[in-house]
Amino acid sequence: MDRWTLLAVALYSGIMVCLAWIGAKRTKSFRDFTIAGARYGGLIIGLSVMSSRLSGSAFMGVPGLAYKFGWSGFWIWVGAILASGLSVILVARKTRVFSQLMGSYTVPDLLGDRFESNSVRTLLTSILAISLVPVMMAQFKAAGLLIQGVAGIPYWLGVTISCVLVILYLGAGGQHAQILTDAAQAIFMVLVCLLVVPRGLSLVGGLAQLNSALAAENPVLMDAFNPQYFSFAVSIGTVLFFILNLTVQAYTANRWFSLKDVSQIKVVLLSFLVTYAVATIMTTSGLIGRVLLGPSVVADNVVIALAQRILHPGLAAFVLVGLTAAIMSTVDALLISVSHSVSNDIYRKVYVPIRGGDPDSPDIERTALRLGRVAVVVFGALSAFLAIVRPPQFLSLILYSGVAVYTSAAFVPYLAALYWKRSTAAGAVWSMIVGFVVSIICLFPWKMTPFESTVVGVVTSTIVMVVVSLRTAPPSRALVEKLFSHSQ
Amino acid sequence: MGLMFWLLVASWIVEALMIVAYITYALPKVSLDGKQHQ
Repeated sequence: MDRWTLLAVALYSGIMVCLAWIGAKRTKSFRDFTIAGARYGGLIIGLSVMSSRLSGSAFMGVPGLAYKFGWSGFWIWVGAILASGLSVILVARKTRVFSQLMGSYTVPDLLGDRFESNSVRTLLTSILAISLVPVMMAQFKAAGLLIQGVAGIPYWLGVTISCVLVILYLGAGGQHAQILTDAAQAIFMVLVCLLVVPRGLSLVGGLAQLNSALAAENPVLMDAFNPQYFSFAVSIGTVLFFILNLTVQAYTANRWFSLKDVSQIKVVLLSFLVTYAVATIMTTSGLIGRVLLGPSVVADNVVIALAQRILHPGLAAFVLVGLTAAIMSTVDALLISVSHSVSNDIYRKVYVPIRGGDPDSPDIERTALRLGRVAVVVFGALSAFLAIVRPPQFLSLILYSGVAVYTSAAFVPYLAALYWKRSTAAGAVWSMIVGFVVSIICLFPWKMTPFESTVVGVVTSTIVMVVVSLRTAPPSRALVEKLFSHSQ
Repeated sequence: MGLMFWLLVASWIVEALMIVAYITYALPKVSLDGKQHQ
């Protein structure tokens, strides 16, 4: 590891440790550990959600798609930009209001409380854990490969270092640490874009020259559709997938519970307008790489190769650390989300009442806090271990498959809980089961893409929710009226 | 500029209009305690 890389890694790790320490100081109760005391403003929450959503995939994989397929690689951003605001508008305000009224801490908890059903809570928590562990494995593999490339250490050691770092700061500071470190990591990610793209464009001679060079190499690189990957159907499916997925994404929807007030949602939305524009511009680095480096670089490595070619070694080291930050900010969100589900949804809300205990008693909250920290260690170590002994072969496939399964199961019950008074617990349970099973059948025996599987899963889940809800007894009128009268 | 560039610009403008409309007309109508205010 050269001295610039060492300096950049030390700076990054130092900032993470400081923020973990602040998070640990602020974590005095289980409520702090799960929803960070519901005290954060829109800018911090907006930055933290942005960095969790935009993983290494957005900062390495998508520029790689643009590098390989040209401008059609930007289709992902059409979906992500449209989904970024819509996903907040659809669920953030009602989630925050409902959680305040019912004392819910997570998305499965909110659905369990809304439908007054432990079956709903337990089932969604189980689906969350099953679908997110493979996604964590994929992120740990990406982190391990990146650290291996940057520091020249073995892959297993790279995975272990990223796992230990994330366990330390989440175990210490819970949701506080997650929000603070993710907001800081978002700033790293924005700086990466500002370092790479303007310098690259100036070397190419500007956007017009970039397009001329791409068209001269192959006119298909300028087309909006590319038959090799982004055909018309796949492009539209990508847009729909992002809208469905980002709306219910449990590991970022958990941030709505931490907002200090619903009025802060407007700051979240305005911050998205800026940060998503910056992230979109980052993809231009793939096109710049195509012109400056030629077509023979491994697509996922194009940003790294470009930074090393066009930037001072100190700035290139900073870019590599920024890319690590992009991955880590997603890993921590996944991990804390699973931890909350075990400690709150299963232990505090299901196990304790069954044993006749009071979930709000100080003793139970202390035990839940300890359990949450243990779950961070157990699930973090398990995912990292699996990423070392059985590294997923196709990163994006396993990542999007896990996301597709969760989205297919959770989208309809979540939206129905927030918007349809007549939706029932039985409707939620069966729509989750059917969405889950159908998406798995579509993905594996039928070999459909995760984008198509999600759309099929959500459509069948919707039909089941409507039919079963209308054929079962309506939910408790008192609770439904209370919730909906407060959130019109 | 190619079609994709203008599609991105259009999606960003649609997003901006949607956000401004939501902030202006929908969000201020309710506070966390559920009381109406403008």
